[in-house]
Amino acid sequence: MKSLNDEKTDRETEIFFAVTIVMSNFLIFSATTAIGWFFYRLLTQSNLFEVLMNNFRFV
Amino acid sequence: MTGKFSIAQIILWLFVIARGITIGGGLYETFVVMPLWSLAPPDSVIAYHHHNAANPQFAINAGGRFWMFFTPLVGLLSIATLLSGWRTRPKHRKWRITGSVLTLVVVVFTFVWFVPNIILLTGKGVLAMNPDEVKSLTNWWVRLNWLRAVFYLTGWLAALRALSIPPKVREQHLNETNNY
Repeated sequence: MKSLNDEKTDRETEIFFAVTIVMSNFLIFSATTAIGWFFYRLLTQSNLFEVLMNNFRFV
Repeated sequence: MTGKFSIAQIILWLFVIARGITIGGGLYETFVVMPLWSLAPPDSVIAYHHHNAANPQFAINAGGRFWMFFTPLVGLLSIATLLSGWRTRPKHRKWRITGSVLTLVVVVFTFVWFVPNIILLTGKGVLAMNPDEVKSLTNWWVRLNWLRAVFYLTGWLAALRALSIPPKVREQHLNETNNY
């Protein structure tokens, strides 16, 4: 049978991992969404697209 | 390969990153670009077309500059995610399948319905349509775009959930290798 202290440690670990997962998911969400937001803006509203297409010809 | 950096995990990471980038681009388009042509149809749609025709240097052309690369990439990555996750453990696989199937549905629907209709609405085709048709199609496009966003976000959250569950339990892997 687990002692109260063991149960407390288990719960702490469980909560720590749950919070870590939520935080890391939030970080991935924020970072990739921000990259997409600015990348869309750059590609559609600057001459970056033309620069890329002129310098990297695929054919 | 069942370690931390298995092919299945790498593909899932690429899938999540590519989807995050498309969500960012999609959010920008939905909140900044879309209102420019969809707020007061049919006048706003026709005015948007005239503006782009008169000033091609300012035309956003997101389809040819952004979506043309990212939508097929996300579609291919969702197929790769689905196939590479076939032998993962069920707890991980169910989220992986949910994420990739929802994405695949969105990508197919995008190519079948959203792309032809946005080309129609922002191109010369809009001038040949009657105002009621333009208004109706614009409203449908906007409404279904929100539905698409919900599907897309749900799929992405499912993929994130899959990312937080290891594809295989290490002990199980060790037992399997000991059997050989």
